[in-house]
Amino acid sequence: MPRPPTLLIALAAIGVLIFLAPLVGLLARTPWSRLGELFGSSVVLDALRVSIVSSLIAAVISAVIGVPLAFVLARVRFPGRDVVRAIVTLPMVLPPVVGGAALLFAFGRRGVFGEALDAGAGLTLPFTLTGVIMANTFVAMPFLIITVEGALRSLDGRHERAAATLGASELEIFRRVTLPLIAPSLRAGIVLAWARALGEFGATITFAGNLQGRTQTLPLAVFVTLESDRDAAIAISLILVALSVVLLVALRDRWWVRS
Amino acid sequence: MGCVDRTALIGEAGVVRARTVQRRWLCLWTIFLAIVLGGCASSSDSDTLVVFAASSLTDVLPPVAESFTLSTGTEVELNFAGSSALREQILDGSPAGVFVSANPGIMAELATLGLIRPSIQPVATNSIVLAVPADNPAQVTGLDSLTQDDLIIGLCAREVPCGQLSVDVLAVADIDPAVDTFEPSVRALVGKVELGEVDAALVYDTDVIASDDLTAIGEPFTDAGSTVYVAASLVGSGGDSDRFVDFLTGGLAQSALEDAGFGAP
Repeated sequence: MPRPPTLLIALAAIGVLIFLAPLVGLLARTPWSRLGELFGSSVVLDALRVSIVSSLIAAVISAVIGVPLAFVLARVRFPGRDVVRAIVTLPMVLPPVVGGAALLFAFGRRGVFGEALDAGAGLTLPFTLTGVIMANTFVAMPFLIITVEGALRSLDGRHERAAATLGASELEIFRRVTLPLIAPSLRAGIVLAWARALGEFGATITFAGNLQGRTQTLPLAVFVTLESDRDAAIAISLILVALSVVLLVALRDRWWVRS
Repeated sequence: MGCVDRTALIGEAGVVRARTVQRRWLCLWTIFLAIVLGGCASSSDSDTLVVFAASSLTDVLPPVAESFTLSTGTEVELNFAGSSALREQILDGSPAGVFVSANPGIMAELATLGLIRPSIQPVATNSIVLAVPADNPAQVTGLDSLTQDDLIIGLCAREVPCGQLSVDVLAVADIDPAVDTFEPSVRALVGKVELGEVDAALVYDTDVIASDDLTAIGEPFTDAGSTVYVAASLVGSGGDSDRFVDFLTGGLAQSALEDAGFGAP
């Protein structure tokens, strides 16, 4: 391989610094000797529980609904498909706080749909764990849809046609041929959606509020404690960094080695 | 490449377009960096005064700042956030000229650290009131209603002055509320009460006066004290900062604050 141009290397190094510097800042301010005590505090443990539960459920819901959605977007031709794709991926580019406000207008107790839910089913979403899961799903599912749709589009359909020739039903083909073929992408999509849900802040605090033990996730706990107890905020941030790094390393096969 | 200034660079990018693709990307990158770095440099413009102010002053300060600009010619840039968030920003070296805090304790701390000039001026006071959506859907009657589990109750987070004062108010009244959310700023809380998503909340008297969608239940709670707003200029800022602090204690600003429902300092 020829030697890459020095200028590109220099710019790439600046890029690395941009991402590395905040991490160094975080580690430099970390109160290492107090970490154990901080990790054991009720704020941290409650936030960890709420975060893990809500982000995992959001990832599962994203898979259950997102895979069929990705399948329809990739395989079914219908008018307005591009518009539908734009709508379901909108949360990827929308500021999450806008998403949270929109969820509140739609599913709040006085929202367009929320009023009926509240009166009819007695289901109140804002300020509940269900609300956190909803906000997480709203923001995270597009990442799964995009990943899975891409995988479905890249299949050439050979195996599926073969299965059809052998008499398998459409649903059977999807379950026993298509799904196994896209399994690596599906795994990546789930992990990506989970990671995004874990870091969700804006939509959650806007739609679900902030109450320790019920709706306060790790990012919310960082935001609130940063103003009163910087050490605790840093400890929680470290948990988030560690979890995110683990998740991204889990994606390594998909993103780095294979390409 | 002559990196003289931003416009010269952008002009050059137009010429370069005909050359190779790599070269063009390189230029775009350079322009991007120039704009980012240039943007940082130009934000400390000498004839703009940056004022950090507690978020409960969001409605009242813009017209006050406009009158200041009219009478002195100095442009004012207002940055609203919770007092403790602003404290963090100042500690981290944000280039503010004036800080108007809803927490005198924070101001005293910054003075001890030598970050603000010692002449701290009290500007206004504010009290806590029980607020509900205009039509009071949950039929809230008083502080007692805050203990009802079936209502959605909101408070300011303890980290912000409105939350600290709310804790004191509840302690004086000996009420243990069934809180559903601790909002990180009083404005966020007000917004959710206005929407009808929160049934009852403790917010500032001035928030209720400023909003058509809020109703106060009873009188403001003054027994537990009030939030005192104090203003000071930051060490290292220009004379405009001191003039702005004086302006806040002057007749024009004080009558605007009074109209908005703030108490006299």
